[in-house]
Amino acid sequence: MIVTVTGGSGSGKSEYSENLLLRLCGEGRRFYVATMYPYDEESRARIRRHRKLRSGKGFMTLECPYDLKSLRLSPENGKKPSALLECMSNLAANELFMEQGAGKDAADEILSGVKALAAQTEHLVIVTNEVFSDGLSYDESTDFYRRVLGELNRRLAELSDSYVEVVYGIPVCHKGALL
Amino acid sequence: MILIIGGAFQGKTALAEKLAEESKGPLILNVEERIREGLLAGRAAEELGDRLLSQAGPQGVLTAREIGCGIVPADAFERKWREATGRILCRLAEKADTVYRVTAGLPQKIKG
Repeated sequence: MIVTVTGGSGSGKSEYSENLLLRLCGEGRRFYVATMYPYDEESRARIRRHRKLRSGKGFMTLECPYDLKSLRLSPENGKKPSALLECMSNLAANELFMEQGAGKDAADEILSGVKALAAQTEHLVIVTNEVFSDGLSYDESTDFYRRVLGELNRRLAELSDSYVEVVYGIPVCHKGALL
Repeated sequence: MILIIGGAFQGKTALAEKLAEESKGPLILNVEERIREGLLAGRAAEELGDRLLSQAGPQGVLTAREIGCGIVPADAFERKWREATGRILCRLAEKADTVYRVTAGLPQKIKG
């Protein structure tokens, strides 16, 4: 099963996604695929907050700031593990703007990575982000970033069984069922 | 307690006024601006959340603009405000009996 979870900043989408994956995978092996690149103190603080949030939930953390399609998850006794991939907004920024990233091919590269991950998992929960509604105009590169993330969200919705928006902790379902 | 959220100029206030009249509770408009002022005055997000909850009480009606759905702001205070508003609204939504999201004057009940 593939579920994509979206939401704005501080919407509670991470906590919702972690708990959703736990409901789906039960006692099974679960990975947390972390995409934030720790480039300053603020991002390090954010990483600490997320680690604290998911501590005690039994996740094995894998760092993957770019090149998702080369990621390999180890099965447990031949059984596919589950994974929480967080999040598309970091992955898109890294693929677009980091030297090692895919540049203009970011959306295709990331989608290939998501499909490769889906093939290796029993359940996959993908966290993305709502960055489209502030009514501001941006420079060309930020606008291209928004375009890439918008395209990713549309394509993720196509391949997901459920697409859920978390609004201040409240799940609002746009596709499929709430689980 | 009723929480009304949505984008700017969507009809949140009109709905809140109507519901506050019915509930006879306090009307607290523009929670996001109160949080901004509180942060600028040096108050912690947690304290601001506590204060909003006690001001609203069980009959209160609150409105807030959803400000977390844009590009991460370049300014550090704007980022702090945006995140604090999100976290506080998660608390308010959890305590609220009913949460409405208003678009073009049309309220969608997302909780209660």
